[in-house]
Amino acid sequence: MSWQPEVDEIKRRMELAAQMGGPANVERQHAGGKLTVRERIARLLDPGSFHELGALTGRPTYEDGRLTAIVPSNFVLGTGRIDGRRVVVGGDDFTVRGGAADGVIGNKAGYGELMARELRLPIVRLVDGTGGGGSVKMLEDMKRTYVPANPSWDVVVALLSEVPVVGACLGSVAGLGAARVVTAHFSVMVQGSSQLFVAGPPVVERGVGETVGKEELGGSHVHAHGSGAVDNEVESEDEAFAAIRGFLSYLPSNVWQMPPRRETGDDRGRREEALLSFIPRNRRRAYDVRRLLELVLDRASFFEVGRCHGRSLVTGLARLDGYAVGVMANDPLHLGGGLDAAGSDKMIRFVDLCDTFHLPVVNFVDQPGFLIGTAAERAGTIRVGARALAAVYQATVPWVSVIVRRVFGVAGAGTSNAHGLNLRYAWPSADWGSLPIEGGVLAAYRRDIEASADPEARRREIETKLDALRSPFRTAEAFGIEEIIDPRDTRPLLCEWVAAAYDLLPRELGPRLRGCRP
Amino acid sequence: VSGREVRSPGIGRVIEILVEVGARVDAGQELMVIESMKMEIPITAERAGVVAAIRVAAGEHVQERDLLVVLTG
Repeated sequence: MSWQPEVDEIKRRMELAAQMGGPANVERQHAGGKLTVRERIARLLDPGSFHELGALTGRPTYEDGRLTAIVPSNFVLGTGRIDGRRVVVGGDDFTVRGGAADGVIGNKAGYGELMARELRLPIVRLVDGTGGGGSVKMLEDMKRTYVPANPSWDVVVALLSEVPVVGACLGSVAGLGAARVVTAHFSVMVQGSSQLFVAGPPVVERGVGETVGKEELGGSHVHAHGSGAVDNEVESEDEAFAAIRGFLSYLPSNVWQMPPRRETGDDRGRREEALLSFIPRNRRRAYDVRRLLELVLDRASFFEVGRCHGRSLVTGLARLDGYAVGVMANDPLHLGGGLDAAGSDKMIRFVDLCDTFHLPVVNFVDQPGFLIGTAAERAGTIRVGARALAAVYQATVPWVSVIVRRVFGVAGAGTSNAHGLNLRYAWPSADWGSLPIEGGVLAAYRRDIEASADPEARRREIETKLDALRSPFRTAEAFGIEEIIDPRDTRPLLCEWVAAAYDLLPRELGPRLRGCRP
Repeated sequence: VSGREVRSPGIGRVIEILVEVGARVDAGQELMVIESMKMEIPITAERAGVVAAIRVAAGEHVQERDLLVVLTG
């Protein structure tokens, strides 16, 4: 006797599971502009690479001992491949009990997290659930309440220091679901069809008396543009999957492996003529820093993280001669590039990401200092900023700075670890100091200026005198900067540096002593 | 409609206003210049329209999110 009947039964049950919450619920999901969890997984992964675990899990209905129907667990889990590399993927099925935790059977999500940890694989969470607590209706069945514990949270936290973790917010996501999205190295949400909050509108109304719609409360404009809770905003779910694939393409599968190198076909010796006149000679004129990055990095290789929040600092992943690197750059078009609390927070996460996964860092520096003024003080800029400096000083990954213009103040001193070898290249447009001459003069020469018959003329006279000392060549004479370069040589020099940096990485591999936090 | 209200991207001082009420502007056109952290930041129209109101004057101090210009059309 063979086991063919049971083998046939496996297939039948998997077919039942594939129906998810039934045609009506699937149609509702589509009508809301959302894909089903199975469609999402199929589009995220390399075609045909999904290997499901726990497909048979569900609430069965038996008639005369034969299974007639099964409501599958609303968490779909498995492994698959992204660009040929294996990952763990898990997603909520909103068509079954709204993706809420009370529709889960067993700890499928926790099993996925543990699998990612033990197999050292990246994990992608496709979150579309109404929260960890499920519905209070559960209490009627349970006849009790319980002390909350986030399931498998020890593993969820540990993963951040070991493997790439990505969170996608693909629906209205509250509580535990929201925490699962953001406890990640990279998070993404879809404009219009996804919202993220600690608690949704009914709970908010009851708790703090605020009447607010879900989009206003937690739409992507709130998180990707203001709060910084989510890194990137995209316009469609397909764009979300492309972003996830893009992000992971720069990272190793775990901290014990080297970041993958990929041929980009870009000439490592490329010298862009535009760089020679890129920085305006007028110090008050800004420029498009993303254009600068395009001219230097491998063509079309820059993947920006967190574009719309903490905007005075641009962060992203890129390639130099095919080698993956982390890139930071100050954006003079936002707050003049001044580092505010939001930018500092973004910098902390980004530096930690690069250090955790051994991505060498290239910092394009044009830093006027921490943001000043009452709003900046109230935002605690100096303490968040000091944390950003600490992140830079704790990082041990290879680091190079290209000083394209200003380096001022404490924030300027935090653009690299100034006490190590501190490899840096300055452009001739470089301009630096503890304090800017404009403004600094009034503080230092107040008595001199006030005693003068024409204070305004005296101030200008002192400024002109000091301004003449501002040339970076004077700093170079004192070995205060090691090299001033032709801006056109930036790419060839960085390509040479990155190869040397990658030669050092094999000795650096493994987890950092300092864990990574979301 | 998004882009109707042009707000200040950050703290600073208005140093120059480049349009007048009633003027037709193109998407991306510079409306005014704000100085922030000693850098001149051009404020541009997110979309084309007509300047319905200018809510700040040259020399005025602005905070992040302050309303600068209202566009219609």
